[in-house]
Amino acid sequence: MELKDINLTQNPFQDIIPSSDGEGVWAGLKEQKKQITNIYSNAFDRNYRQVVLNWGPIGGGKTHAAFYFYKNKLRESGILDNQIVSVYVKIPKEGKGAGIQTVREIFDQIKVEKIIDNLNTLSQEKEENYIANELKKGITSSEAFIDSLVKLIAPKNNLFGNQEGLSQIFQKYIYDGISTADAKKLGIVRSLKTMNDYVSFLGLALKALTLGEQKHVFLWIDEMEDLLYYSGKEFKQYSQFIRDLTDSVNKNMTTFLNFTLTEGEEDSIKHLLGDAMWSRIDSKVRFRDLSVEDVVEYCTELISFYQVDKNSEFPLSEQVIEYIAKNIPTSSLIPREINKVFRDYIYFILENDVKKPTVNDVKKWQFERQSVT
Amino acid sequence: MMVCVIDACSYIYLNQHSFTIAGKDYTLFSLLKTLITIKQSRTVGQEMLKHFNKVPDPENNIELNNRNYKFKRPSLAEYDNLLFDGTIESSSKDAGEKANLAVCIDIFNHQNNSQIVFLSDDLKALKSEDKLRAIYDAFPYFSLWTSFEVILFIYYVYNRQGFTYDKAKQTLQDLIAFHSNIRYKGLEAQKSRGEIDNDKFSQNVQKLKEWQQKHKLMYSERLEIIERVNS
Repeated sequence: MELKDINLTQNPFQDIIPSSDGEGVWAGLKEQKKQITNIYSNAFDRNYRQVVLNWGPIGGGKTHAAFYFYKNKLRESGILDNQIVSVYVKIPKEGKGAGIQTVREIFDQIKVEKIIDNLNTLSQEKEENYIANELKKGITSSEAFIDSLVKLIAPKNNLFGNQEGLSQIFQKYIYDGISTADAKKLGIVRSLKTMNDYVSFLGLALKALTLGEQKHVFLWIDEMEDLLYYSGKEFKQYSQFIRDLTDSVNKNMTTFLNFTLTEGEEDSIKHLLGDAMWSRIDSKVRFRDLSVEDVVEYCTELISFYQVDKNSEFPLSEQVIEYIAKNIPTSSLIPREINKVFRDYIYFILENDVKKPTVNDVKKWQFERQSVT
Repeated sequence: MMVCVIDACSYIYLNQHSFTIAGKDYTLFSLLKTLITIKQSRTVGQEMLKHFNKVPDPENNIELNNRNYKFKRPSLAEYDNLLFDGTIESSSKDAGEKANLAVCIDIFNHQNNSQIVFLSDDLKALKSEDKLRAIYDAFPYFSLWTSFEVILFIYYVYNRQGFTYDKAKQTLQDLIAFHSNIRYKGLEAQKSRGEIDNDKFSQNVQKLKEWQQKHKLMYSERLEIIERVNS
């Protein structure tokens, strides 16, 4: 039997682990979706920097939320596609140089051309020193160095011939450093050396991207709990990096920190993340274990995205979903574990030609599963 | 005077990261040995020598050998026969821990010293149901420490001399990171050798996360309790 024979275009539970290539479908978890959508809307209304902590159990939907909001537009909330600049990074597993690596990953996702377009438009509308003065606000470093970075990001004359030239210079500056001769030619004081240099440069670039426009950067940093692989010194440096970055871009940026808490309550995260980061968090979104009713809602919505006939309740009736959900251990009522169970059940009904599964079919499947394990 | 009987694993862990107090570099081990007497069985001394390449800045051999404990009577061989069925001599697994336990018992017998610490990070050896645990339980005179307890101890006794709350938290994170990275790399190696599949790998990484968070929380809370007294 094929998927279309059971009223499906594909197995809705196929993606056990969220993927950036996924379909970008949101099912269930209404409260979390509402909270994050509000954070996006408020970001434009209030326009200040925000740091949001998404926390909950492993497989609870945090990474999925990151990919969903990274991909999906928020036209329903009145936000235009080009107003959102989405960036998704995972914290590096190795603590050594982790901050610089994250800066580079963020740069990889920012389109330099968009910075140039934005600044070109602004330079026609605003007075001469407007851009430079705005960019410098909140960036802490030596004045000469900042001035030279501003020259690089917002050159008065196009030193590089075209956008491609500027893009290449950016890449070189971030990854390899530039020679003394090139630095002199471009009017740059020096290469990027310290973490603070990298943060200053990134801060300026993010500001340049959003300056003067109704644009907002949404930076998702996933797997923050992996900070515990870092030595004490590296842990402190990375915390400081996030603090400095959010402080230097104090407008038009929202940072989401995804943190998996294996057990305990919100207060535990304070100890795990440390005071430096904890004190910067403005709001929190909790991803929690689901109830049986939540599972029914989650599965029903997810299945509906892939049904051929959306008016039919098949392949899985509410009764069948509820029966399966009740047999999942309470500690495993999280999207990842739910997906595993239902993915396998869909395969079972396909392999056994069960067109309209009943609770009795589920019992048979459970019996076979137990026999195998 | 307090005596700490250390195993090879703890020696390696405590020597991984350094910090500075009043312009002088220390590791947790080098600071600990200024505060209490450290001893080890010859068996453990030999294990340490074998693993010197895992210690960034190893001490010299004389210094290490001076910590080797010299038994009175009974000798180590006699303890081995009486308590461990000769398994120390035959270099069985946990031979170092067993020999160190004999050191603890001997110190208690001959030096009238009740402040004895059995320091081991090989907790598997002591958690197991085997003979080592039964013998440890039969002599309930020794505190059992891991490297994490060393941080608590140093923070309490050396806080005013410069081992501050921040340093204690930093060294706690150092230890968690060192343990975690060894375990994570071990899991990756198992996966690449095909000994575990992706599911098992993910489950074990999840367990490792649980271990990390539990230890960080548990010892952070303990440091906070000590801070109340220290301040």
